[in-house]
Amino acid sequence: MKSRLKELRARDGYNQTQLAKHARISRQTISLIERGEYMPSLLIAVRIAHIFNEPVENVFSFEEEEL
Amino acid sequence: MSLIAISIILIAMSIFRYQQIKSLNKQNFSGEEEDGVENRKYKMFSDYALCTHVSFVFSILALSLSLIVTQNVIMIIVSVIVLIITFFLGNYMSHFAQLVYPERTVTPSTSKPDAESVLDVADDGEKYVILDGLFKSQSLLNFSLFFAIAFSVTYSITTNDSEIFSIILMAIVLLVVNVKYQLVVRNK
Repeated sequence: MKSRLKELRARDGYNQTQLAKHARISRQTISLIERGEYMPSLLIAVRIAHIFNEPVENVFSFEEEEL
Repeated sequence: MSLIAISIILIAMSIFRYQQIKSLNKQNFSGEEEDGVENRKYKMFSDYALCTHVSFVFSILALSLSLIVTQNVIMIIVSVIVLIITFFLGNYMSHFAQLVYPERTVTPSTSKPDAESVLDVADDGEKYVILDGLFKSQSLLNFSLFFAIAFSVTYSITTNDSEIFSIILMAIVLLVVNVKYQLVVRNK
């Protein structure tokens, strides 16, 4: 799974700590998602997508073989 | 003596990490710098936990050796003091966590063991990290105890110094840990 978290954070001027507070999760979880080491739950993915005002599929994407 | 010295050094390191986090909390950071500081605080908290745990084990070992081998009263008293300090530092961990994560409600529950209350407040990503750590340490524990039993058996045979009591204790620990794990998994 790939995410555009870092790019979207830069676009909207959020650091990891601020995004974590908005998404009601820990900074560590944001960091894990950005590094592709952890796949977030649907709820967290939707929350993050809402913060960036983007559809979930614009924030997170999968390789063909993962689907 | 060297075990007590190591314990005291580790206690000093724990207190130093605590002071470092307190000093970072007094400063204001923003942007990428804030992320960097949060990451440093997380690492410092982990260092505190590591030093406290290792110090606790060393102080138990120091006390045990003082009681069995040296029977030196001063050493025994110093070992007990060091053990009590490390015990309190370990118990202080949940309060310390609130210093690191002030927005989180890490309330040490009196009805639940600490490990469970930590899981209660951890989010999905943190639980993933905890699970990874627990899985690796569980595997290592099994492996280590198995080899400890094997070495104790070899030692008993080659030296005629029976380690049967320790072997039975280690086997019981191995049994209890694995049965507990399997029961938790089975009853979910």
